[in-house]
Amino acid sequence: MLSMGADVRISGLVKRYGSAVTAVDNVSFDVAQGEFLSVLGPSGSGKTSVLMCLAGFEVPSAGRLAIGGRDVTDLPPNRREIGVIFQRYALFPHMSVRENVRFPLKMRGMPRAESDRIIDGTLATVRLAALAERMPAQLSGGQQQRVALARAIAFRPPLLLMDEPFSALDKKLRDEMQVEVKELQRKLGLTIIFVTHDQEEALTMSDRIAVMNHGRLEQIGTPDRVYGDPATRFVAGFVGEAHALPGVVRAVEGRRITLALDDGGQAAAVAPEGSTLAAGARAEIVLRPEHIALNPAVGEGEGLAARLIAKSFAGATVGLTFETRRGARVFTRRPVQESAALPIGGEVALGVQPGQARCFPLAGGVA
Amino acid sequence: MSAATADRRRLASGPSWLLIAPLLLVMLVIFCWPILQLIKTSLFDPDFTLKHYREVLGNEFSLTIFWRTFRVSFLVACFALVVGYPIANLMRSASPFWTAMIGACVLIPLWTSVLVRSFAWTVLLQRNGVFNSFLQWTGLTDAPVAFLYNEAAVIVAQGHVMLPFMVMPIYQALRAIPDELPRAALSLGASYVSVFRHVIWPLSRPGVVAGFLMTFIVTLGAFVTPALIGGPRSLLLATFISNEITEQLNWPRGATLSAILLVAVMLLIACFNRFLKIARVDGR
Repeated sequence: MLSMGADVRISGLVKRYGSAVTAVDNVSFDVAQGEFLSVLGPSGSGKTSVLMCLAGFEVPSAGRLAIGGRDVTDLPPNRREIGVIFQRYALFPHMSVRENVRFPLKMRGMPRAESDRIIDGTLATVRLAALAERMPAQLSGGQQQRVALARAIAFRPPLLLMDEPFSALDKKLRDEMQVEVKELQRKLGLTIIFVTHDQEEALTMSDRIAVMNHGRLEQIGTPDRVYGDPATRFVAGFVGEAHALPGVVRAVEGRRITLALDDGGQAAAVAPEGSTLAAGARAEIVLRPEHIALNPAVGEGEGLAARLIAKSFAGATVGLTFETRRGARVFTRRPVQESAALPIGGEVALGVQPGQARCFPLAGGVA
Repeated sequence: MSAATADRRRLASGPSWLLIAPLLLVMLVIFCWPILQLIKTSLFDPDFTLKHYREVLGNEFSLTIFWRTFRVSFLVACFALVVGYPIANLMRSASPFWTAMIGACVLIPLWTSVLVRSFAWTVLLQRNGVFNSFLQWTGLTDAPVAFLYNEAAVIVAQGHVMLPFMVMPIYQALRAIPDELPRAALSLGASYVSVFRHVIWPLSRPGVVAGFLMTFIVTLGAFVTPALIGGPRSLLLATFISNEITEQLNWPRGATLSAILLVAVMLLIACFNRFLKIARVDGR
């Protein structure tokens, strides 16, 4: 069972509801053949609207959509040849698993004997061969989503759209399904556009991530790029764990910026590409757990004084939450032995590993 | 269910029996007791006898009326279904405002008495009524058409009276279908007709069956509309029973007819229940 993925081109997509709400605001991006692209954003960011426009359930207010080089903007959903996976499975409750998977084949006028062969193959692919005669209500959530997957790939669409498909599943099942979908994608060479609000899911599964907020595309790139070099303050905060500390820009040297933190101490940070930060401007450094260095003694100069306020055990590491004298919070992770030596309430000096954390202009302008 | 809520339920059942006791009493005295009396009247004269049943079931005239009543009721239900399904479907797909407006248009007639609604139909359909005046004004006809006092008029008017009982259950069933299902069907390549045939219609069937059954059974015993709109050649069972009792003063005959109707309706409901239960185990 082999099918080739299609490339997708979204250009200038706008979706307005009435005159007041712009759900999607001039979004353009391309998806390559066989790519796994996640559209990541909080609820209301417009990510689902992009998907609904692609599937054909919503009519774009402006912009063009092309799949495999074919302009589909004006095609009805039943002519687009896209597999769609919904959050709540959307299985037909009055049909057995087999009849659900048969549905797209029946709609294409395929004879029963032939469709039976394809159904058996597809159900085997999602490891549900034994449950073919069950009704959807007799299946668990994970099994139902697998049936939905089988139904969506049975007619071999070159593109699969998934709308938060695992958000109704518990964590263990979700992890399992993530692995299975990735495997399936590799086997079939499918292009997948995957909408999620779960940044961890997006980071682990995607070839590239498109981060959306307020209807606009904030950044599109590989997971390590989006995580390590966020283009906007929103992306920095939304993707990965992050805590921000305010300060004043002391020196600018290309993208490298030295910041005097309001909480005391200095930090060397990197501004996003095209940054206009100048010396004297208010800025914010966004710290990931791995950017924090621990000096187990109160010191002057570089470090910033903070008090350990909470420890959370997480297996190999312990999460440590610190509070600065001004009440800002910083989070990091340390090996179990190292953190054992740190008492809750104890003061430490925190350093920032130079040249890793990103900084962004802070609303409020010049200090 | 946890043990605590189970306990609370058991405790509550005592007081709730007390609460429905007045209603139960009223039902027993003014509903069940008369019906039992009626059945007794049909079976004892003064000793146990089946002669009234033999008379009724051996009489061609009463058999004709039974047959006509069932046929007209069936056609009324069909008419209400054909008119009501599109209305219910419109309510499902319209915006909340229009859903409320259509719902009001369907339900508000329920607040007027059946008598008024049936008279309204006579005003529309009579010789010099609205329809006939209009038809003659347009020149489509040059003499009044006899709309009233026939079976077709009864079917249309009774169908209109029964419309809310058809629209509401269908609307409820349609509303319970999540939007993703028709969307999923479309994305899988189904045409709009196929989406209706394979997804919407089968899933709305419980509502259709409920509405059809309700319309059919209520019409079997309908009195006011058929009496006002139907002519002597479209006499239905309820009017016939009333004639037997109030004009012929033939209580045993009236009682027998009523008992037969009652048993027929109960059998029908039992059949449908069984059918619905099987459909549920199979389908949902």
